[in-house]
Amino acid sequence: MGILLQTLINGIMLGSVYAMVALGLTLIYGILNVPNFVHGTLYMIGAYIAYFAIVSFGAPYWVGLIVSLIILFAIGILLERIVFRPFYDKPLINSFIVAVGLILVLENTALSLWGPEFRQFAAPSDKVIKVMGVMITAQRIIVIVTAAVLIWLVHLFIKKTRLGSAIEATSQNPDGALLMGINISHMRGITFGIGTALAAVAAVLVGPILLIYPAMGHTVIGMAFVIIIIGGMGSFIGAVLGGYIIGILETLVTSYITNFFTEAIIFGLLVLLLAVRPTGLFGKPH
Amino acid sequence: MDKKRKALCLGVLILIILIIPLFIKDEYYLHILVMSGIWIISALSLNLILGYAGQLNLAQGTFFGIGAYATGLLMQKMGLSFWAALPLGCLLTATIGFVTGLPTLRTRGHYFPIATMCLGIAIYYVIARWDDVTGGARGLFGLPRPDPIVIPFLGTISFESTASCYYLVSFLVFITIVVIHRLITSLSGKRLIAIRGNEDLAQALGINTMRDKVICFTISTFFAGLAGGVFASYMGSLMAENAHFVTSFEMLLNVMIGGVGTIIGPIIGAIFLPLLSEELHFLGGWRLVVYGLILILTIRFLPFGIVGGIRTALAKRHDKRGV
Amino acid sequence: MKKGGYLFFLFLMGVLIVTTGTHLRADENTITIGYSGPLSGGGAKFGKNLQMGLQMAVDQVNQMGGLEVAGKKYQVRLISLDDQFQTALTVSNAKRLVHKEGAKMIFNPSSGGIFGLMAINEKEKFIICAYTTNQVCVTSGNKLIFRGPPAMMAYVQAWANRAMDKFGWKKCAMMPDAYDYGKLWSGLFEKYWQKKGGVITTHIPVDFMKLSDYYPLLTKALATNPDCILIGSSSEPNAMQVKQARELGFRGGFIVIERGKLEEMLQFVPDPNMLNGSIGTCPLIFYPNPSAKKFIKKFKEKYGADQVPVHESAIAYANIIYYLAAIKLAGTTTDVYKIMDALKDPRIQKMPLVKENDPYENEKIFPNGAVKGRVLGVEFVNGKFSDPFPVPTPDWVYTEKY
Repeated sequence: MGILLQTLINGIMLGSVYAMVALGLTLIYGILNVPNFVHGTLYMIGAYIAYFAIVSFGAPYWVGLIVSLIILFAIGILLERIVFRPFYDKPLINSFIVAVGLILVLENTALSLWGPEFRQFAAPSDKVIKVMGVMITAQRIIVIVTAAVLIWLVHLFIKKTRLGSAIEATSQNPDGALLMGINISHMRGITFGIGTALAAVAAVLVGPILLIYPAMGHTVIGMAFVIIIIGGMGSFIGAVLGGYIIGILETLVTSYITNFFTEAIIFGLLVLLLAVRPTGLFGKPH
Repeated sequence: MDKKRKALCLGVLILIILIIPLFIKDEYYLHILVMSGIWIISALSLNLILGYAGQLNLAQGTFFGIGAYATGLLMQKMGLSFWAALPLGCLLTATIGFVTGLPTLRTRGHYFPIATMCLGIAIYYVIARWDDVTGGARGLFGLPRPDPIVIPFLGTISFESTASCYYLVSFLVFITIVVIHRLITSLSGKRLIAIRGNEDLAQALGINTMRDKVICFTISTFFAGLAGGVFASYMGSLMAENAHFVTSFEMLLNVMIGGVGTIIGPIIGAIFLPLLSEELHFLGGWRLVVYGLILILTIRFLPFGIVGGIRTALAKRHDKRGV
Repeated sequence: MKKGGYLFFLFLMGVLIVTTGTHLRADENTITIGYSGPLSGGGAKFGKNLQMGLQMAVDQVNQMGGLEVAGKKYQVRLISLDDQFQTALTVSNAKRLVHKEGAKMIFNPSSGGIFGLMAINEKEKFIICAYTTNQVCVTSGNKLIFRGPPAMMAYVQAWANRAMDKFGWKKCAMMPDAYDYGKLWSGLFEKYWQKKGGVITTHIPVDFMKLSDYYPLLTKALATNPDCILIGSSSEPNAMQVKQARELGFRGGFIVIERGKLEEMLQFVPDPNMLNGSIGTCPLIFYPNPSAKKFIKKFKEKYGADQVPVHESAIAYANIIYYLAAIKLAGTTTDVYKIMDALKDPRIQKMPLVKENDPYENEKIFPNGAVKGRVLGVEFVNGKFSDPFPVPTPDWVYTEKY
């Protein structure tokens, strides 16, 4: 029982990270119409920026988080404006190629500038709490709670504010949004920024638990794709639910079945899922 | 261009390809040429499904890997000769392509690349972890080169030297080009292009899109397997990474930078990009940064690749002359 | 096409032409050492550590005015190419280094890459300097290979003996890395451990290249109540594993496969006591012999006082020193077979270049190419390192197949 509970909590914590990364990815998907492969790399840059704020400049953890969030928001807007905008009227594969090129550029720039060393910044609290035979560190609670709050806030922002509904309209139906008098090129930039900032927050939250290095983006990006497929690409609720489902599923498979074939099983199931429901679990049928 | 001139050009081209090893003695450049040949076959295979049927198959690199492992294992574990293992390996790849193509091709639009990427990742992990058969993370080693061919009265052709492998690969590239060219110029090729243009319309016109897509997918995996099989025997060793979707990305880059939907485009891309990547080594740690930038800028300014760029330039000159 | 397109196209062609046309060709007075290793991606840190050692040896010899071979002075240069641990790239890189840059020796640190090179090196006449503890490299009969690090079996037995005889551990949970190296290591360990009467409670390979969090795996491992855990990635992921195991309430010890370094792990755990009860290789900084001390001093002079040298750098450094000494002894920069003979010649240990610089005071090089060196182990108890203990390295661990 203790082990099952421990496993579930491990899964929820992993799911929180996945949900945030996938949420950002799904927002950007609405803009680009292709999955943004650079997302994992931006997640990595978010972690580095927090690292420099916290370790090099001695900023408190939460300040580091906000600095990283703001800078990655700006980077997101810039990337959309400079790199991706010229490709909206081009074949979709072209954006895909650009993303692959951008990964090479960003990851290897990080490697050349900051070196291959693993880095880490300290958690705001090192406490370990023991409840019902389950061990959980304060940082893991912070991850779970912050992620939940943040996802809720993004939800409120999209549903309750004018800017939010404009963003939703743009990402779901750009032509309609244009007719409604929405400045879609503005909205695209802002959405890209928000999506990227979410990845940064996810990275800073798990920063004290994981290691920071230039190739760290690869570890989350694969799963994040899986999640937005399950969730139905472009679906907000799908990304969040998908994140938690995959987080818990991965942990359960690892703990109870095999950790050797986890990926083969999960990705194999996905192919089957797509064969049965070609637009994902929560996606609208064609 | 009339037929005579075309044939002449082709003849000269073949002659050049035949005499290249007489001039390039450097083992390293010959190696690069052999690798380019392998990349050309794989790029052409991806181009068949992407450029003519409009389906971005991100598992193409994995099929390359399946062909490589199948050929390698048939040689090593079953003791087959390369000449038997290669066609069997390709057939096996095509069979797996057919079986996996059926479910994945049901998906449409952006879901197809994603479905095939998932397929590729799943198969990659099976290869990487199935120790007893594939050697797992350790990989396969000591795969033999093709057996010598004995020609009565003339002697034997051995494939130990890089130059002989160059001729073998060139021959296979030639076969691939001929087959794919026949395929796309025949009627079914026109139907495929109709699918790429507008699948719903094609369906409404009574074209069985699913059947055409599956056939095209299967044939393209056959050639990906061919490239993989040659790679296995030439390199002598395999790693699961050869079946990773990064290999698919490399093929895709070759196709896109060269020019998708043409025969010559993927060939140019598959020669140009690996050479560029090699020649940028002098940049040290910044090599891949510059490589990435070149990719982005190429696709920015030449959205239809190098061939697309040349075509527009030629058309412009033609227009100017016309005026 | 827009004008930008034209210009860009010309630029692209220009880059290609310029770069293919101009490359530094080694002249007759240069000895080229080729290195193909992971310089980007997840293994980049490991690759850079090795590169620092290689570069240091090369620079040192050049500063002394170069290497005199058969009455002629040579400069030495190192050319490093990235292969991201991929065999196909390693082989391509080696062909480039050998045929285009004129290298007679290729340094490579992955068993996959080394096996790939072993298929071609005798035919294309170059020496492989293998950075691996994998035994197959030296027992396959390849005549042009020499291997720097000690044999894997020496560590396996020493760590297992220590764990059982000194700490009294019986139940071990194995969590090695999921790649070839971890697999081989844990395979040897499992056999030996069971032969000594120990129990393997569970075997969970860890893929640190993809895994983001060790909690799920550790939860599974700790459920089997082990006395100790075998861990085997590089230092930092190891440290995370240790830290998270402690958070989950584990009180036992850790057996650390030699790729991980206790002194590096120490920097990634919040409390040194977390590492209590760990067995691993002795940090280079605690090696008592003067030549190791000398190496550390030179290393810090070159790379900065805050750079702590690790064994990767020191072994790579020693290998280059040996290789250059062998060239001098053989009196040829091109005949690879003579150079190999010189490497195994007992006179090489007496040459000033080797004697003054080899941080390990290596005893000899076996006919199969394995370097027999000095190996020390260490334990971490009560928040600090114990005194180093010698790891027995009988000849058979270097020469036999296992």
